[in-house]
Amino acid sequence: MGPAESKLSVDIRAGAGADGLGIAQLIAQTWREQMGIKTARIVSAVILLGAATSTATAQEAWNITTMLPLTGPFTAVSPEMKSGMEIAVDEINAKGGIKGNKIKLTMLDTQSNPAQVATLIREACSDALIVAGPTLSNEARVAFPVAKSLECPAIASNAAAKGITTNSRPWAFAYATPAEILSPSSIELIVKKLKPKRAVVIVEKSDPSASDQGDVSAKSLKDNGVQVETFVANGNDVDFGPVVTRTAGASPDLVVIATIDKAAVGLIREMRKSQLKAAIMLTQSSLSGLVNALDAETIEGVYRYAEADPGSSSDPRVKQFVKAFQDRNSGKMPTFIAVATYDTISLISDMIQAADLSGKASDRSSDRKKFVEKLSGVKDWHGLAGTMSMSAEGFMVKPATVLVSHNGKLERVTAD
Amino acid sequence: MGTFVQQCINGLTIGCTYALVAVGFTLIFGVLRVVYLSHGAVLAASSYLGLYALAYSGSVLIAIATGIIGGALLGFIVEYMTVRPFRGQNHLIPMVATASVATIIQEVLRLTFQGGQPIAYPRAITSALYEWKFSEFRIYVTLGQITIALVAILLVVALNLAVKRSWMGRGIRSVADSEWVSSLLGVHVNAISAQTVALGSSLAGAAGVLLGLTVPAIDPHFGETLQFKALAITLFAGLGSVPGAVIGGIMLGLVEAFASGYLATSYRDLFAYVMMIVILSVRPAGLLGRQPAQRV
Repeated sequence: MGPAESKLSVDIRAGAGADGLGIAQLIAQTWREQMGIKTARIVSAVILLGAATSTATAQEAWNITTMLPLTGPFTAVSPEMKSGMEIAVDEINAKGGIKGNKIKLTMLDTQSNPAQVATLIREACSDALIVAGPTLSNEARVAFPVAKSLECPAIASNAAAKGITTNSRPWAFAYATPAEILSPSSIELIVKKLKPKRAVVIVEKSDPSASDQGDVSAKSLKDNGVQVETFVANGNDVDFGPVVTRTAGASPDLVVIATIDKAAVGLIREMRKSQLKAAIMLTQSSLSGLVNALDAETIEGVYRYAEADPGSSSDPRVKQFVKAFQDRNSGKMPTFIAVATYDTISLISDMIQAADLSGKASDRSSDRKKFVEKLSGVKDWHGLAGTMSMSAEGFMVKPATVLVSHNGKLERVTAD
Repeated sequence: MGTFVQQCINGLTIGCTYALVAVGFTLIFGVLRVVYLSHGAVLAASSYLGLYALAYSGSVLIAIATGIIGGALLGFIVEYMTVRPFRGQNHLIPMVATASVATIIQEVLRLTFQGGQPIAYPRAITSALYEWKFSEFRIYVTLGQITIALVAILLVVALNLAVKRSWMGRGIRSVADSEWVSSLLGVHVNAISAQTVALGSSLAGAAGVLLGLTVPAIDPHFGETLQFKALAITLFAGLGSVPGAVIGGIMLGLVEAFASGYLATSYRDLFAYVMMIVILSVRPAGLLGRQPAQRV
């Protein structure tokens, strides 16, 4: 199915075949039997006009659907995700859209519940040519096999868990760079900088991304000659004292926190209370509004790595993005989360153009195949996060940025 | 030595939290014989109420009082909707009804308070640190941890007195023994049922605010894990036993702290639940539970 103006228009056409008027006529006929003829004629005329209009405007937009955790426990990340996508769509549409047609972005709410995603991905694949989502690893793990079965391209912007695309290739992609590429280079830089002898990795096993990043970080530390102990924490814990007391007992020089944001905040606060002297490093899995909301004193000297840091970039495109983001978010600075969703939409737009898709309903299947072929071969694509290429596993590979909090601001860390 | 003492403090504070939630749970079960699965949702809702009370008043005491009153009111409503209509029917019906109301409360919280995203309590007051330095080690405790322990002890003692020394408590105990005989003797069973759930829920309300002061952030589902731990404590401590719930809660807190502190941290929950199974296999009625008398 080609690009569509609205979800309603797609629904009507889906039930009526090619002309898109069948269901509208059926509804009108039922109403005619139940209402007066005159009223029914007016209502029918409005419905038929609406259906015809929606069919006529169907060719005027590229319909991309995304699935975001707009409500639920992971809602904290969704405003950034949403803004990143909206800025990208607005910029592309302001430049005339793709091949003269604008992008229509539909957002579905996963409620932060992977169980919802199996249904939503079917809805998204039915409505849209391409699905820019879901965004998170645990949701992508559910959605990707369904997308594959429907031969529907799905690109997750922020999902980096190991193996999430493996069984769903070639239809599943992740913009995020997986931990086995991102973490080792960051750990190597930190080891060079801080020269730790002993380290503790605290990992949240129930989160796929955090678990991957913890495991890879522990391995990288060992590969760099650091003695490592691994402990487990959980974001639902009521007290992080036991894990931190154990960590203090190991006398580490470096503590790597590979958890989600709630556990990271609890652990950092508990470490400050315990007066642990070790340096702290956060993996990308823990970075969200909760961590960024920590006061400057608590977060001082804490290292982190991420796929991008728009705040410290000198790239004019990134600066323009930062300004657009701040205009929409009361001056708040975007993080890699917004960059990822912006880049995902930009990448989709570039691939639609590069693959020369027709956007016609009759060409939907071939359009999707062409899109997937083009996206699989992406090399040296320039996004806000830098230059990146698509790996054989369907991940966009890019370098990591290592940062440290200093006086309430983030500074880039270099090997010097 | 320092690690051992610190883990004892950690375990005791975690245990007091568990005890506070489990006591409310066991009170409701002991009197009404209902597996009340709205307890975690009431705890979460009270925590949100406490957060806003703290934001407006700046007083932790007002926040705790708001949590207690809010929890009690919610308890009244939940009892009216899910316990009272199904009294005398299969015990699965009120269990499913309370679970359904819990989902409704969580969804309302999700759709009402910032889309359900985790929200942190302001920390200025409760993060105050007290430390003691000895020749070889240092132990520390926060005001939040001390508050949890003190309020938990105070509320459990108050509850015990209310149940044993007041007219309401006398009614609660008589309904716990037999609803039918109590009603014949003129006890208003509906009123006692509402008072019991409100009393238990007020403890959940207090626990919600106290936890909010110490955990990194609250969200609509943060009471779920605690509810199931409280259910486990209620089972292994002895169904309906308030002292059992206190001892069970503290035992579970200590086991978790020591499992995290000295054994593989990934097996913490495993140790806790193995302990529960061992206790139940040795004492099927639980730690302080009474074996039901058999008719002969």
